[in-house]
Parts: sequence; structure tokens; C-alpha cells
Amino acid sequence: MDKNDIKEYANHLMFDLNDEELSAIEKDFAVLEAQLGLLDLIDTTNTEEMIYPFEDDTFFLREDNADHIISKEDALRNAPKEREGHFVVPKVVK
Amino acid sequence: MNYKTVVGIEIHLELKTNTKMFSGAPYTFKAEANTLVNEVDLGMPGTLPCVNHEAVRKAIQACLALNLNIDPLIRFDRKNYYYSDLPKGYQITQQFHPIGRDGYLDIEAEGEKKRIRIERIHMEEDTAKQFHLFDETLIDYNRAGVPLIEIVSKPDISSGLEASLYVEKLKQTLNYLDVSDTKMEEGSMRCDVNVSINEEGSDVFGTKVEIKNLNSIANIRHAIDYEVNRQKEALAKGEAIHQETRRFDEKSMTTVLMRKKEGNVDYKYFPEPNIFPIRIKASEIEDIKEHMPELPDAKMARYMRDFGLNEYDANQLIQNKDLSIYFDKLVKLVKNTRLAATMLISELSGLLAKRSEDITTTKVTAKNLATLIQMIDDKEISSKQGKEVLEAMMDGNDPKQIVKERGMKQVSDEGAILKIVEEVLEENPSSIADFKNGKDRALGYLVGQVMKKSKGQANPQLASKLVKEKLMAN
Repeated sequence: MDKNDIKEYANHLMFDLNDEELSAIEKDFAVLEAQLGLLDLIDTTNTEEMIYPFEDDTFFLREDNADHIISKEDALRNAPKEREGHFVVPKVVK
Repeated sequence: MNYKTVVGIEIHLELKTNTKMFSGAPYTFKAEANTLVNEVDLGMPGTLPCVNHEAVRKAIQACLALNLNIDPLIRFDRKNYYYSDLPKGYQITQQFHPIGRDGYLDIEAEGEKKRIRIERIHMEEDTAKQFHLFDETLIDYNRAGVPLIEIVSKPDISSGLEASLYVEKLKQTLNYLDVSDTKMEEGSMRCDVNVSINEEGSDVFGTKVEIKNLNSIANIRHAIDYEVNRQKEALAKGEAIHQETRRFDEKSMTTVLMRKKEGNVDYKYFPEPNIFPIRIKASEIEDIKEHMPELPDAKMARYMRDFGLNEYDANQLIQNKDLSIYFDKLVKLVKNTRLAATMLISELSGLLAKRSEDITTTKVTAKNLATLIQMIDDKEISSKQGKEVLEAMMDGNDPKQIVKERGMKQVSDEGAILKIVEEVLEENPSSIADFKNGKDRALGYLVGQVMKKSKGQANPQLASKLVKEKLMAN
């Protein structure tokens, strides 16, 4: 992980880093990578992947009864811009 | 060069539930924007998804109807992408362990049965609806989180016609199951197709082009037919087919490039950590199996076998689920089941169409229609009179009452008709002479006089028979 990688990731996450911050993160990452590298030393052949903290199945499903909704005003409080009850964002057509 | 068309279809289907896939917010299609949302749907920090039991049940029903193997351990995964139609920044779907695998649906194309294999059905959540304006996008999050299933076919479809038949049959089946209202025009059923062509006899698949968001069964067929021709022409000119996404333009009836596909997008799928695997008990799946509604194919076979309907009539009835539900009610109340089918298909449906009504809202109850059918069958009234009575029944009137008020009773009493026949013959000696001289027209005239004298109430067949007998005996 070099400065360019970090810059690119920061860009994806939509924030800027100054040189000082970049150096600090680069340093931190070196430590992190070394620590993660330790995991590679563990032999996991024939060990099944474990995704959840326990292996028992669960059975709970929610019944299809309507519960609460929030008011339109509350829903729109996070909108950067609002028009006719809609969230308004810059146009990006996927 | 001869080419073979290869088509695979992906269908997104909104399930007919009261609430969303992972939240208890209610959903209806026509609602004011952003009024059917809660914290879970908006991806607020700290919220957790909770799986809707009914959505799982409906997905299982769809799997059973389409002959898929069900994975009773429900697991979800995250599909990560950053876009405004998805407030959480990811969609919860079933990438690694779909609820159903390896099913099929049989269609009949040009008189031949064909099996279309279904690769998988998985559950996921719908995204928000966006309205793209000139330089802004308006978002309505009501649809975010609505339960969906995606049905992915194998590339077993080899023409636009087959594709349209497959989607039509699927739509009908899922509609009968009541798992979805399957309204393509409202977006509760959405269809993407992958089209490629390859050289006849070759095992190498051509480059596939995706056509997105086809909004009607007719357009599926048009879009595929157009796209196959476009690809053939391109290859004939020595051009390459590019992997791309296109859309169907209804005005020009052509497919239009939307975007080129550059490599596969990496969605960084991983198991959804907020939902533990959920085990569906075998007894529950058995229970769903036992309570499956009757599917169209089975219903059609039953109509032909139990009620003596011909294929055309039986098909007319099952084409419209509500009509078949009405028929099921009606047929329990009548003796002449074939007459019941005819009255429903030809007469009542025609009148409903004329008045822009439909079978679910009609004021003609099955009970009243059965009474009318019985009167026709018992020859109390003629079938011509029957039509008139039915028309008068459209506002909810009782058929017996109408017949009585209009003095319509058909006279089938031989003695009564014979009396009129004798009167008519006495009054028309010249017609009798004409008949004897070989003028067959005279018979028609005499029967007409009998009908006139009876004020249209004599049973015409009986009147004709009696006039003939009398003339012969003379």
C-alpha cells in the first residue's frame, strides 16, 4: 500500500488527504499489513470457512404485518435537496 | 451462413406481500413519494434487517411451481455498489445460495412442446424509483426494500416467439399462484433478455447483448427479433458484436445502445453478516406444497375432462384467472357446463367489454347467471331471449324477474303450440297449397306466423316440427 493507493481509496470515499495525513496513514498501514501477515502463518488446510460467530441455524422470520413508517418530513430531513416530496441529487444515469 | 439464436431471460418479480423484504414498512404501488419508508429502508445507521416470512413462503411457492430444488437453509449476501437508488450502499440478495435451483417450465411453440430450463430463483430487495430530469434526479424510496425474486432461465430459448411464450406462461403461472400481480406496465414484473447468435452446428456462443427493461410481452418478441437481425447483418458485414446493454425503443421498434460493458463490475459479494442462516422446516415446505393453488395447466385439463369443454373454451377461461374463478363458482350451480362456459366466454365477457367492466366487479352474480342458464337449458326461454335477459341482468337484476316482467316465457307445451299451429293453418289455406306444390318457403312463412301469434314465445324448434307434421298429415 503506497501513497498513490491511499490517495485513490480516499478519493473513492470522497475525501481529501494532505501530505502529513498521507504519511501517517502509510505508516499505520505498514503496521497493519505486518499484523495481517501473521494470519497467513496459520495453517488452514482442511479447515472449513466460518462466516458467523456460531454455527446453529436460526428459525425466526418476521410475520408480514405492517409496523411503523416514519413521516415524509422525517424521511426527507436527510435529503441534500428536496422537491415535491422527493430527494433531489445530481443526475447520474447508471 | 446460418445462425442459431440463443436467448436467456432474467425476470425480476415483486412479491405480493403487505410489507417489505427486511422491514415492516407497508408498500403499495400508488402512494405519495417517500411516505412508505422507515429507518431500515433508508439505511439509517444502527438498523437491522428482519426477513419477511410471507416473502419466503411466496418464493418457495414459485420454486415449487417451476420445479426447482429448494435450499431450505436461507442465506443472504451483500452486493456492494454505490448508487443513489440504494441508500445502504449495498443490496441484500442471494448470490451464493439461491433459494431454488434447476427447475423448468414447459411451453408450446408452434404446436411443439419445449422445455425451458430455469437455472435459479433468488430473493432480494428492490431499489428506489428514480426520475431523471435534465440535470437532476428525483428519488422516491417507497420501492426500496420491496421483496423481489429473480428468475434466471438457461439459454434454452431460440426465438423471439419462444421468449414471449415463456414469459407469458411464467406470468400466468405466477399470477395463479398469487405470488405477484405480474403487472409489466407497473414494473412489478420486469424482464431483461440476453441475445446472441452463433453459427449453426458450432458450440461456441456468440457475444451476448443484453436488452433491458422490456415492458410488455409483445415488446420482448419485437426486441429479440430486431436484435437477432441486427447481429446477423453486422456479422455479414464483417463487423464484430460488442458486449453491451441496449434498450428497446418502442417508437422506432429498434434496440438502442445504452452502454458498452467494459469487463465485469466487481460487486465484492460477501455473506450478509446481519442475517444469520435461517432453516425452513421440512414440514413448512410440505405444508406449502399441499396448499398450492391449482395451476393453469392442471385447471385446463380439469375443465376439459370434468366439464367436457373443448380446448379453445377451456383456454379462454384459464387465460383470465378471475374469469376462471367465476367459472369455478358458476359450474357448481349448473347442469349444462358447456352452456355455462359459452355464456361466460361469448355473452357475459362481451357485454362486460362493451361496458368497460370486468368480471371481478360485475353485478351479475354466479347464482343469477346459473338461474338464467338453467332456464335456457330447460327451454323455458330461447337462447335468443337469454341474451336479452343477460343484458338486462347487467345492473344486478334477477333473471326470473326480468323474464316475468317482459312476459318472455318460451312456450314448450306441445298442446298450447299445437293449438296455435292449427289456427294458423286454418287462416292460411293458400300457404298449405303452396307447400303441397313444392314451395318450401311456405313452411318458413307458416312457422313465422306461429311465432308471431305466440308473441315470440313458442319454442321455435317445436313450432317448426309441429307445423311440418301437420302439413304432412294433411
